[in-house]
Amino acid sequence: MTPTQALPNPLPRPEGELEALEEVWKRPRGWRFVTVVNNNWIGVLYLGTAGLFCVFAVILSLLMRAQLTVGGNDILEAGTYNQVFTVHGTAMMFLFAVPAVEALGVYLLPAMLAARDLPFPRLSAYAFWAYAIGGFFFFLSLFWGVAPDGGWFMYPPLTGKEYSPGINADFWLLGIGFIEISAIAGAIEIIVGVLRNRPPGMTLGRMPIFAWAMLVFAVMIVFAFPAVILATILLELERAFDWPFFLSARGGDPLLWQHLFWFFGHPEVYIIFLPAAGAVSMIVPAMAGTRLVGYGLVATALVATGFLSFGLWVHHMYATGIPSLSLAFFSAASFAVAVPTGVQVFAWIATLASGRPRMEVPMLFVIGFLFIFVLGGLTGVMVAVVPFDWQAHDTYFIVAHLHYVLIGGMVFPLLAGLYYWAPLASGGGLRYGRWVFWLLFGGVNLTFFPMHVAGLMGMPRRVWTYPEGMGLELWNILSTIGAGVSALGIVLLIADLAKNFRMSSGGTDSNPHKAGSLEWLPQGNYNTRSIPLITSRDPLWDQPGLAAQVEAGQHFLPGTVSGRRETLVTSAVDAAPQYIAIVPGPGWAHVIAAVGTAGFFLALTVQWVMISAAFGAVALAAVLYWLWTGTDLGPVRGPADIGGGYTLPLYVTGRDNLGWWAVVVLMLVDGTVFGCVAFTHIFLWLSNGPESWPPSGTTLPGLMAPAISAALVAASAAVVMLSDAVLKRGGRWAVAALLLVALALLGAGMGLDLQALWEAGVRPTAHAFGASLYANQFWQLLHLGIIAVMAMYVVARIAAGLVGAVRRVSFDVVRLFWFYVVGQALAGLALTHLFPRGAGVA
Amino acid sequence: MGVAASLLGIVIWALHFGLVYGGQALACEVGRPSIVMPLVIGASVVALALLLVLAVVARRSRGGFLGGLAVGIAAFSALAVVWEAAPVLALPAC
Amino acid sequence: MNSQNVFDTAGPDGDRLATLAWLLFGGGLILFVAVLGFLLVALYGAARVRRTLGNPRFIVAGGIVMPVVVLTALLLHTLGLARALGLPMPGGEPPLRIEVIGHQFWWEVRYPGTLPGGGIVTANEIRIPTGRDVVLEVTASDVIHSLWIPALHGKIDMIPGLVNRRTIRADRPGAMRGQCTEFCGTQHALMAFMVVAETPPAYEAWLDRQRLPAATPPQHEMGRAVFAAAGCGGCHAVRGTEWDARIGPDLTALGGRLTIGAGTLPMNEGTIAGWIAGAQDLKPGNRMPSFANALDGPELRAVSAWLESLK
Repeated sequence: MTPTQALPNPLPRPEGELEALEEVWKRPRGWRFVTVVNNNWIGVLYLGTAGLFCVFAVILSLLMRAQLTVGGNDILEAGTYNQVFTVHGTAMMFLFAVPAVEALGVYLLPAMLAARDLPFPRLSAYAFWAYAIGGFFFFLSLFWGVAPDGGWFMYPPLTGKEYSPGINADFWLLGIGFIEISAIAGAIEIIVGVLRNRPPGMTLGRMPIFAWAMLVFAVMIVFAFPAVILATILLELERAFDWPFFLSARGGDPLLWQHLFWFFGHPEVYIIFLPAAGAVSMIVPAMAGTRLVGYGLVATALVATGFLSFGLWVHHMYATGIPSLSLAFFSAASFAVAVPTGVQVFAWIATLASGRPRMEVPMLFVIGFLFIFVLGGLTGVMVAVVPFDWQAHDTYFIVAHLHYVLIGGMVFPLLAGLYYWAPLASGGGLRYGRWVFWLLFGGVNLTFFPMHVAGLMGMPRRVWTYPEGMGLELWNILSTIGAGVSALGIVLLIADLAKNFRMSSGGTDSNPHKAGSLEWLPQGNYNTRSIPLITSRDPLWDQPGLAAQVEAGQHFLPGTVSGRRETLVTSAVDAAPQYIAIVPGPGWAHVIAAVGTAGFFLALTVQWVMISAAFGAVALAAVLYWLWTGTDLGPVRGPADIGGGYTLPLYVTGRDNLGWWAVVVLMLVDGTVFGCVAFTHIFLWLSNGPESWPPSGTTLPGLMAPAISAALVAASAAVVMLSDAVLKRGGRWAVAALLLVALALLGAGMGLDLQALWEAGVRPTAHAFGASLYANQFWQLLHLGIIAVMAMYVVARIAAGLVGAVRRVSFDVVRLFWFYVVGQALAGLALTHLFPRGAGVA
Repeated sequence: MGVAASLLGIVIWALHFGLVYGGQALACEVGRPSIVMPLVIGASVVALALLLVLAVVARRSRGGFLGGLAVGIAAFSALAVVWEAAPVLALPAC
Repeated sequence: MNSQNVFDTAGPDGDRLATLAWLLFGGGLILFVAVLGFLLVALYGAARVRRTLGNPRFIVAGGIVMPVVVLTALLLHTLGLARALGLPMPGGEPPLRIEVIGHQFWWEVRYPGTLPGGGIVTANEIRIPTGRDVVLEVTASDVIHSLWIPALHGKIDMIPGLVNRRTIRADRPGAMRGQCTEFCGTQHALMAFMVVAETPPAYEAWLDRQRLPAATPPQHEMGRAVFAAAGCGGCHAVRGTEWDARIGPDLTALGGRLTIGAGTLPMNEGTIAGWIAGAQDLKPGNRMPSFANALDGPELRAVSAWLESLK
């Protein structure tokens, strides 16, 4: 095709088009800045906050290093030390690593995909504020001496009520509840954004590797976080209401926690690493001035790492007495996940070999990353070997290994990314990169390499001191010196940012690294002026003149067609244009909702139940207001011309709608939590042995009650289907009435089951059997509550005339989720009433 | 096609993994160690056969990038299946 | 004797694990050097060599074929090792059974069948005969602990409600240190113990001494009286006396152990007195109260002398 003919929009552009675009995307000024939702700003705030929390956690690590410099030191007393290492680990994992890579995605993805914004900007802004507020209070708990002190892994029974009676453990369980919510929110945002907001022509096979990495990252969050969400719910239920999930005297099992925690915790490592690897796959080709060698292999490796990493959680449990064959399965699975990582390492080397690498600061960090990460990866293979791990496990060898993997695999790529992408966000360039690199590279190796030796000489992890005469002195002194050197590097980094980083809305319009990906197009708050038609993997290299065309408005959607913020929605695989989605602008609702959410969890931690309920109500009201005013706007205007012969609607319903996709992702999250509920039940059954499950003296209700429950629940789905048919014919009040009937049926079905269980004499506190059944009830009733809110919301919208035969996204979303809840309720009934009986027969 | 085949490869791996790990735990709990070896080997043979079919179909359908992705995922899955099954030949069932 | 070095081995399984570690370090070093070598060549090598490395086939060779070959070999080796570890000693006696129970923050050690209708109970020290398999049956009374004797074998977790087993064997006599490796609360760091391997005759002689009830010669009557008055018997057992509480360690043969406070201090009369007076200063958060204010100097000396005499 000849470039001039094929461009979607002609020149000159109508007068005022660019001005109108700039006007709708203008960022709020002054104190209203907190209402900002645009990813360019939220992304930077998010990254900055994550960096700040990282610095806090680093300060804690310096305290620990000071304490451990010599044996018998008393800078920190034992109890304080335990709080410090717990907060350090928890904060690094939950408040720094995951949010930081998520933030990188929020910041970069729209630019790389030439989207105007992420599909749900207020959702990511909400996730950011909830995280920032909650995170600050989490750190503050240290100053009151109520910080968690059971380790970031929080193993019960140590963290149960008997051995941790204070609120310290609750701070972990509830205080980071908000981070689970914000991680899930971010995952929904990223999955839908990557799949549906790509520029026309950017098929999956042309997507930047970073987008692949973020997609895998987000999908992994969807399947990994539910396990820790359920685990924290169970442990909090045990602590608050004495439901004995983990107490062996009453049929519980401490290993249940370890399975759930590591089913999250192991993928977590790759959740942190993959986005960083994705960033490296962007930086290396740009620095080498050539295409990524083995694009397909790298994309495949990312996906393979993503799923294989779910098969090795037991490799944190080699010493728990699990039979050797089971351990060997997991050892082999751990080997398997090493292969795709090897593929990526060799792809980067091949890319460097095929280009002309420039030794700029990002490149230095990439080389440092390869050095540190490969070493950490090799010790990772070592600890995957069961007998070796029996020696290395829970010693400083592991501390060394995990810091090599996480600092090498995540911090160095992040810093490479910082120096590489800083020109996008900052007017001024960063200057001290080389010094920062050498201080950190030397400091990190000096800190952590000696820890391998200390571990093999017998130094366990999580000790506040160690005896003299074990030969540990030298290695610990070296580590402390290394920590000091690293700290200097961090101080210099902060100085560089403070002195030379000047946030500007969109940065520079040059492409300083001569890179090939779209984030180097000229950028504004709206990202690119027009949304380019993509014909290659490296568009800026293969489509000459693209930057100028995009800037001139010659590609798709060069302005705003509705006078609001819009972004282009394309199909998931082929990126064919489908519709124009209206995305929200600045507002207060999500900020208030975030304050409410963080307040809800924090007040619950300190057992201010009423205040917590008030915060919860505020959060719910704010979310409803935000949905009411900002979603399901209906067809605000007719189809609009975006250029290139495409006339697209601004409102679609059904499976093409972005909201529908978001609900599907949410259902995957919920379904995984429910899967973990079922796992809990089956695991405890295995642990107790079939003969004492249910325990003697406990009987389940007869099958009559659950059969009626199932019929009522199923009937509720049928009524919802009926209401859908009525809505199609233009019904209004009948739809509302049917929804209320369906809600009553669902409530009756679930209530009947709860009543039957209670009347049969099953109690949650007596035995893990009852606790497990009531955990299932808890999860089902939570969904009943959500459905009740959703149903009332739709009924209210019907009453307000905001739902009809055409404008029906709200209804569709609720209907879809309703079917899920019904399916989950039926599965829950089967789990409660059929599983132990069926197993008893076998 | 390519997307479905890719997802299917992951599902086959996951089912194999769940069957091997869960089946072994269950067999040991109910005191039937003798079924572990046939279960693991049977499940692995079936999984490998399905992955092979999947890879061949994906390759033949000329799915371009996504076809290649499906073949690659099937290959990684097959490697994991073989490695995960191998211990059953060497170690006692329970 | 304070060594916890995984390479200071004292038994066959310890040796196997140490050999494995060297194998892994050697292999890991070779791979590390190889990858960095490739990286250097990719950055600074001759154009012709760099072209070779820039080919996708290089990714397949280095990133897939090489790890698959290396890891398959390692997997097979590991499986062989897993079979060999803990194999009963050929032609040896039936294994000796010792129960170890983890408590916050000390170890209860039981020798079942060594006394009529029960067995001797000791704490923070495991005595074993050389050349004989010993099955450690481990569990915990409160939270999860983990037992680690690097010289003999790897870790095994001690989990409430579950009994785990680890078979160890020492080839050579000697004392070695072990430690709790699962974070178990405030004083996790000071939860250590000693393992003393002795020749079978020496072990039998030790066992015979342990079977004797505690004796109180006349010069120690005051110490025994102080023990009674201070209420020590509320937590501790001393076999041969009226005290048989199981909250703290059994003190029947306290003086014969190598350490006090679960590896906190070496055992002698002075450290016993120091421990009784200031357990909360020496190991804050453990369940032994400090008696510095309850006992005066002569009382402290008397009770320490008596306890030290129990061997």
